[in-house]
Amino acid sequence: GNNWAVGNRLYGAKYRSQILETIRKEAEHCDCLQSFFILHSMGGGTGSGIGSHVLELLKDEYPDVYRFTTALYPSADDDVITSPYNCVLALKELTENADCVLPIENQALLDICKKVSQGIKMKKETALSSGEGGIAKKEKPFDTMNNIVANLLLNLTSASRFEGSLNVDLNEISMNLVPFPRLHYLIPAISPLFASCDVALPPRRLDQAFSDTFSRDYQLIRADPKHSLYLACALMMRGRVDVSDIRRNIDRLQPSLHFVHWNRDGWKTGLCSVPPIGHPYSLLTLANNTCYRHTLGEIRDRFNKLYRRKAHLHHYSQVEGMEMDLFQSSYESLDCLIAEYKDLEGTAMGQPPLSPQDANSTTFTAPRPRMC
Amino acid sequence: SGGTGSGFGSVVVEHIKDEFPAAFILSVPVAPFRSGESPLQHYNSLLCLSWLQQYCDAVLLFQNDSVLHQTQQLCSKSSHTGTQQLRGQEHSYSIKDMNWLASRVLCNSFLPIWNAHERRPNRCCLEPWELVRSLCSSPLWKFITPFHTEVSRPTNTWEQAVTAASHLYGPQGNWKGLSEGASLSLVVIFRGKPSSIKLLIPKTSLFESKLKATYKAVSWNPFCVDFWLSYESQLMEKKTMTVLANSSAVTDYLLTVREKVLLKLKAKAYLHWYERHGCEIALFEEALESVQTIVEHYRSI
Repeated sequence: GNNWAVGNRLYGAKYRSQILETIRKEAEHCDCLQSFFILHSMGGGTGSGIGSHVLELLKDEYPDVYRFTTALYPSADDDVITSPYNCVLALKELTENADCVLPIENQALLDICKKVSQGIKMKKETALSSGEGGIAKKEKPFDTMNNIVANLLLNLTSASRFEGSLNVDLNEISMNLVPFPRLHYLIPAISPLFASCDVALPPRRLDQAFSDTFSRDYQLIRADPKHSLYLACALMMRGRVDVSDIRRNIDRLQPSLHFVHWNRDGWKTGLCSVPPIGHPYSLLTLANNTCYRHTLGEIRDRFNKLYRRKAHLHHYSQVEGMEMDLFQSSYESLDCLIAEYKDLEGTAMGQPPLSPQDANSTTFTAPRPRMC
Repeated sequence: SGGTGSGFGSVVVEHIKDEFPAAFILSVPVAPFRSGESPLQHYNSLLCLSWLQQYCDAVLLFQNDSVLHQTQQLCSKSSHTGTQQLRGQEHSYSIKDMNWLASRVLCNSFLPIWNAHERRPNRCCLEPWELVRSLCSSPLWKFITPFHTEVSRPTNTWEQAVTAASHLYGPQGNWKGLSEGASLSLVVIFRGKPSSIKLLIPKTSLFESKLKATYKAVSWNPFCVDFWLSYESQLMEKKTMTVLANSSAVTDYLLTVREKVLLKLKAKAYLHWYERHGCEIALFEEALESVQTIVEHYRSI
């Protein structure tokens, strides 16, 4: 009912044992349980409410299994009026209970779909369509948008499912890209987004895929990582690509990207030999980048507009088990997260190179980034 | 750079040393690309290096950057096709190609030496032991830097092979680690057909002085350069030269790792992952000191 409290507190409590039982059955089928993937939206009640409840359940019941969340953020003109509340309440849960979050914005997906359909001949079996033709002009193209997210998940897990010279397990992604426990938001970008039948591509096309994934149009949230600070970045390649191609592109792109000074070579490279269907290769980048704080800032502003006027709060206060100070604590958690990213930007970007005295000292008294 | 190789490998070496204290251990680790293969590579490499220094007798260190460079040099000149693909004007090289080069170095180093005078192996397959004895006779200096080149066409000479080494390690070469340092000892392994090896024998003293200059061999070691000449068996048809040097070229890499670890430790980045499994900051501090000691020993040559 578009109400996070109903999803999380009411239905969460009601169906807890059923949910646990279903998960347990599936988990027992696995030879080696590596991670859970949770896909949900942040704007509605079910996705954000029950989704975040399930996350908490998994943390309690399976503390050693990694929890990956693909969270769909609502656009600014979302139908659901209470989506800012649901979003902020769920975000607190994600920050505390998830190991890794891949934020995706509906608006970014829409923009990508529009960009591809305009002026580019849509071939069959592209990354966007499932072979059923172009996008209908009047209704929202959820199928094509969903396909982008599906491709994201396929590319992410391909290194664990297929052979390759540089395999990357899911836990490696989390370990390498999350330098501080709370900053585990990885911005995804995929290239290419449309098919090309030419298999033996000259190097410019491959290099173009690398350049694309760092441009703002290919990100799955509306953000520009190139003008913000990278904490770490993963490059997951699939297909007929060699290690020297990856090295060449890293060397080429490195000067134009700002990496935090203590992780200037913070690249995680993965190479899987099996390409996706319809493409000779594909690249997925996951960037732990401070530009995410702008997305968080917009969510915070939309939340404030409603919360200041106490609009719609009675829907939440009526739900049994819902504490109203959760709004305040969720808001503070969000605020803190934004500040942590901003701190890193502020201290790290202007950092001078390490002096010889510093290089020889082995005392580590600098405080960690602010932990809220 | 990963956890299995560096972490588990270190534990294996430690256990082997405990079980077989009198045996010699030669470790062959591979250092990742400096431009970044994994954000955790520096932590992992540092801890691994300190373990190897403690428990191994010799460490034959391959560095991916150097291996890729040597692969590119070799493949562009020779007829070796490997698995590289043509991308526009540039060839691209795969991990398989790099592994090919590394395996050539290891084959050259460990396969029996067929003595050029007597047509049978005369060392009874003691090559690994000979390597450790020649190169790493002191526990202060355990790191071996490999270089490999091949001369494929019949018209090419051994001189070209020796010159290739100076292109990489010489004053104008890519590898800067030797610019301020020196080398303790070299083992140079030549393998080729009997006719080409015979051509080489009178030139050994000339090559010795050339390689001494390239690698800045120390003057106080009278037996600095050890030549191993081998008639080749069916394995390699070309003339190959592998130089294994115990030299301060390794300090460049060690210092880079140390510097990057210090930066990360100051920011306390990624530490929660290590603390979760029982690695406290004290372990990193010990490893840093250990690596600094290795560097100082090499600088004192």
